[in-house]
Amino acid sequence: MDKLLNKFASIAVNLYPRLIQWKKETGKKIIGCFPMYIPEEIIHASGMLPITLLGSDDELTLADQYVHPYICQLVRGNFGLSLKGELDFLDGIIFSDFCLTVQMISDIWIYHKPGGFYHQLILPKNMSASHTKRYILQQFNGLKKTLEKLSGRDISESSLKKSISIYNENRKLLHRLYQVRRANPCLFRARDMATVVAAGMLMFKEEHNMLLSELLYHASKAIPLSDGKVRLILSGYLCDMPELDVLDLLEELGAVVIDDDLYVGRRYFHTLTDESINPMEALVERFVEDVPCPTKLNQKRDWADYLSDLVKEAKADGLVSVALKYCEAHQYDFPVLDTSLSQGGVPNLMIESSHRGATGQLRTRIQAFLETLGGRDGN
Amino acid sequence: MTKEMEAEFSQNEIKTFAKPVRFVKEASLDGAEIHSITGYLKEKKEMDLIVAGVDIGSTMTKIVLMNTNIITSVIGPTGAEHRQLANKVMEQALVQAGLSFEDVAYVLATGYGRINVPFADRQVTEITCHARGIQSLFPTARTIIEIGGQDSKAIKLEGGKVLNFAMNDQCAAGTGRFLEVIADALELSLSEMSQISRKAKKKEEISNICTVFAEQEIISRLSEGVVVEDIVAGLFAAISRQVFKLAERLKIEKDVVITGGGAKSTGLIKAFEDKLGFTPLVPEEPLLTGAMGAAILGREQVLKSLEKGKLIRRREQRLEKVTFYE
Amino acid sequence: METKIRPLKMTEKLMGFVGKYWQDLWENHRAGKLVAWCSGVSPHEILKGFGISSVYLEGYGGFCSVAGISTDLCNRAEALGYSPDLCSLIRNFIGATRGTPAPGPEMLPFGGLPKPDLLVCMPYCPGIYKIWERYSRYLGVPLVVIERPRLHDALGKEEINRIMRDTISELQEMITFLEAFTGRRFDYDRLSQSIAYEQEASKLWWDVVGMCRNIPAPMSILDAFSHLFPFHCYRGEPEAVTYYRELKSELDERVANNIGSTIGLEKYRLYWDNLPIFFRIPEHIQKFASYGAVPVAATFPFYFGFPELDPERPLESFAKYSLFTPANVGLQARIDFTTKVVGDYSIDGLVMQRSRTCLVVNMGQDDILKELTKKTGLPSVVIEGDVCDSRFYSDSEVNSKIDTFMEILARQGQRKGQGDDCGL
Ligand code: SF4
Ligand code: SF4
Repeated sequence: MDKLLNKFASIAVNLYPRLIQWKKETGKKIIGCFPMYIPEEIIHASGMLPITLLGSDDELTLADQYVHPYICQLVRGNFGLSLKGELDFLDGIIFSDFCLTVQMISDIWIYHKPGGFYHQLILPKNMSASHTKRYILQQFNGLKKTLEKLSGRDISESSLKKSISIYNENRKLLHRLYQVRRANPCLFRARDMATVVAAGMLMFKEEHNMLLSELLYHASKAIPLSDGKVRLILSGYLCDMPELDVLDLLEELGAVVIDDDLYVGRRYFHTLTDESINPMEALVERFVEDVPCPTKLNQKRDWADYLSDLVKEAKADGLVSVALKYCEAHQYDFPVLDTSLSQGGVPNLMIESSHRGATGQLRTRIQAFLETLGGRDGN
Repeated sequence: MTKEMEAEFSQNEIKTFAKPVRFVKEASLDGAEIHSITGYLKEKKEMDLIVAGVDIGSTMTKIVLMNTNIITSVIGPTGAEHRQLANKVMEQALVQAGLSFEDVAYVLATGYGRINVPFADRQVTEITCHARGIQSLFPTARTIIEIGGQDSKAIKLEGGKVLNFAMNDQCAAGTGRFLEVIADALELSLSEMSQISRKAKKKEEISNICTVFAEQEIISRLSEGVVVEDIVAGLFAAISRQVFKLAERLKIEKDVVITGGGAKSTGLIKAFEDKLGFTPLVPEEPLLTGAMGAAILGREQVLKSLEKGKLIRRREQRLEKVTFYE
Repeated sequence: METKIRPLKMTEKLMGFVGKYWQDLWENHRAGKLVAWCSGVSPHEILKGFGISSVYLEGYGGFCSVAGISTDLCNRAEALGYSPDLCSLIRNFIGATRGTPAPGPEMLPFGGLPKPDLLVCMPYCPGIYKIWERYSRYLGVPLVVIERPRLHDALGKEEINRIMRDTISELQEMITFLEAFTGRRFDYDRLSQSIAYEQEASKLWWDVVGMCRNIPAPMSILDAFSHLFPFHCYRGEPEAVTYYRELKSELDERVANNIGSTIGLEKYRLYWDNLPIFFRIPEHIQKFASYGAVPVAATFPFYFGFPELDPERPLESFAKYSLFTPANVGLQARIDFTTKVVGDYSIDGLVMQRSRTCLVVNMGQDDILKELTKKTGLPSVVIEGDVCDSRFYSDSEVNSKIDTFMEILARQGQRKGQGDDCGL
């Protein structure tokens, strides 16, 4: 199983060289999706490979020459990579206007790298206005049209349906994997889970599904490990790869992540696309009905309620939420989240991450939080 | 304990345990040696259980040795350059108490430098330790404000336990270091600052919380002819505002205790009083509450394990240099 | 030698004008009339059609900043857990309305904000929607949201038309909602009337700003930042027209007599980029004046008002107003607009204010500066500041930057002069 996990990790860590090689070999086109909310199924149905742009940890990026440093690391990192030319292998990039920073960066990006293929999706914020679904459908149809042009291939309803079912298969496998983790949380390290999901964002889902099935086969045979650790739900990193050394730190301090609400995690695969209705409309439904998000308005459920249900369902001891520094969307919601969770009796720790890794301060905070949860006591 | 047993132990690699044997080696699990404390109890009474609380801050190391009462306490430099002096402070504490390291049953480390302490059995964050220390001094405390050298913290207590806490974010504003930088810029000592601030007629508004900016701002105010006492009073107000905000997040409730190095500045305490609208409690030696809490927690842990007849994991302890995790 | 400022007579009237508005607002509220809190350039004119008074919250933030209490209010919002990195206007607003400890009405401008019966939100930046959703729940009043998609540079005509259509239909929906909410039929004539006033005031306002093209400029553009307040208050009301008519006539007179904003020579004409630093406006005017420099141009005043408003097509022209404002367009469009403004006002130097917490204006600012420098060759200075939060601002740092910048300008000016001599 370790070998398999290493395989996922190597795909997720060695972000682009592998893809460049892959492209050379297969001659297929690759489309970069700026996180988040890009309906990947449509790209998949056009025969091109959608990958998610997960930024980079580089503190110093070329981006600083063009935008001030007070924006989130995901956007800075991605833009920096683009300026360096490391994203030049992409055949196109799709942005969606779900948050201010992405909204602003897309024009700046295009200005600095003119001539590429870009598409800017304009997604509504209000999820329950009378025009919401019509509006999104128009946007998705627009995307479909440009992708047809780019790939030179019509996206038929049946091919879209097929892609949707492959994506759903992928989601179901991940759900099963997460179930195994809940039952036997010490089987995986949090970093393993993150790289398993991240790898799927960088390869065809068909291939990922095969690897996942293999992993599941091994995982279900593993002997349950006893833990005696503090059971945590990790939330946050709204559209970014979680910092692996922060995940390690949580474990080092005596916690185990039993489930998550990470973008590179449950948030990415949680919601299935309805296969019984018109596929384009199903994608719209998925967007509207997806996991509660601080960038969306008037959703049926509150983020805090969703999270506290998750905590209860998974029988977790507490929740740690990590907001990226300068992530407005998450930060505007932080105080409310904190209060609602605390009122609901869910112990929680809200931390801000500036991608500096496991600093002493972070360590103290997490450790103190675990101490309040009674972790390590009587050790 | 018999002579034979002692002899057996001195051969048992655990050289630091040469004198009074406290733990009986029982088994070994993943490298850590497990010692039972039962043998020890037979010999000594609870009274004699000596525990050390070691609070290694970025500049100062604070140590409390205690049995049922505090035996001794020492505050000494962590060592600015290579931070190699924490063990020396421990040695000093032992000399002061007339003990040797082997007499100490258990060492609990806390503070910024708690991670790699070769002579500690366990490490706990300063949040839990300050809370415990303060709770023993002021059982009525609900809110603790700690102004440390590197950061400041607010802690909310409920039923003697930490309910919630907040720390300031990666910034020196509202910390002891901020005070020091400004004191340097004004060429005053911290106590002089407190004295001067009493003479202030008004508080000069210092809006910048960034240390660099604030320093500049203060210098330019001085050159504009604003008197030092007003600036210092404004400065205390600015720091208290910054830290107060942190505590407000947890909803301040009485009694409020202010501790940590910053609590030594009477000027700052006065500023807090103005902001709170009532008088906060201040421990006699605010630097020591963390180390004290650590010692109490350590003691409690040992006693609890004894009660349950549980094993205590103990590595071989060396009174050596602390390495910092950075 | 200190250059003296020649104050505008209208400045004396400003506070009276604005104060009257707030007094009326409070009276309306006490008399049981409906009050709405609005964010962004919301359709105040539609509200007027229902007889609902409205407060523009970002404008209120400006007042607090001028009054010097914003940083305190921001602190009170941060005590709730809001990060200091968030927009200071919003933190200011949260601090004023929910902050802890709660600020007393005596410390707030105009005694604070009357409790709203309705929230209307059409912001420039999406982060704010969420705050409003919370407020709607917390205050137990309905929230009307109108989205404002950014008009990216690459959008085609078709797409823009679609956005226009959607915005109009959202406005219509808002009307339908308000009819049910107030139990009144919407008065379209009143809307047209309101739009007509707004159009008139817009024209006057843009004229007023345009008068700074004159050499010497009859006022500093930093003055214009303060004279924006009546615009914030009296949206779609005849009072705004009266105010700007008076202001314009005072400036007309100055222009006719070649009177500048300062006593003494107007040596350098500056462009001010980005938002005002509301809590330092008089100080900045004075500082520049001491060098014989006057900031005469900015893009910010053009965020307000839209002379193309059309009382015949009120909703359509309003939709255009809210979408095509320079704060809602792509980078290339912003560069073009800024270049045009700089070109129009005979500028000698560029002052780029950073506005730390507003991404809408500070993302892309570096590119704008680069383009401006390339096209005009003008010297520039970047100063760190913020609309409300004085903690992101340092007097000593900004002053020394301005000093250095003025030395550069002086040297260049000399060189220019010498060059001319040689040419003769
Ligand atoms: S939502 Fe947050 S993390 Fe994602 S792009 Fe926007 S600012 Fe960055
Ligand atoms: S961030 Fe900018 S655009 Fe958004 S509310 Fe604040 S000042 Fe306005």
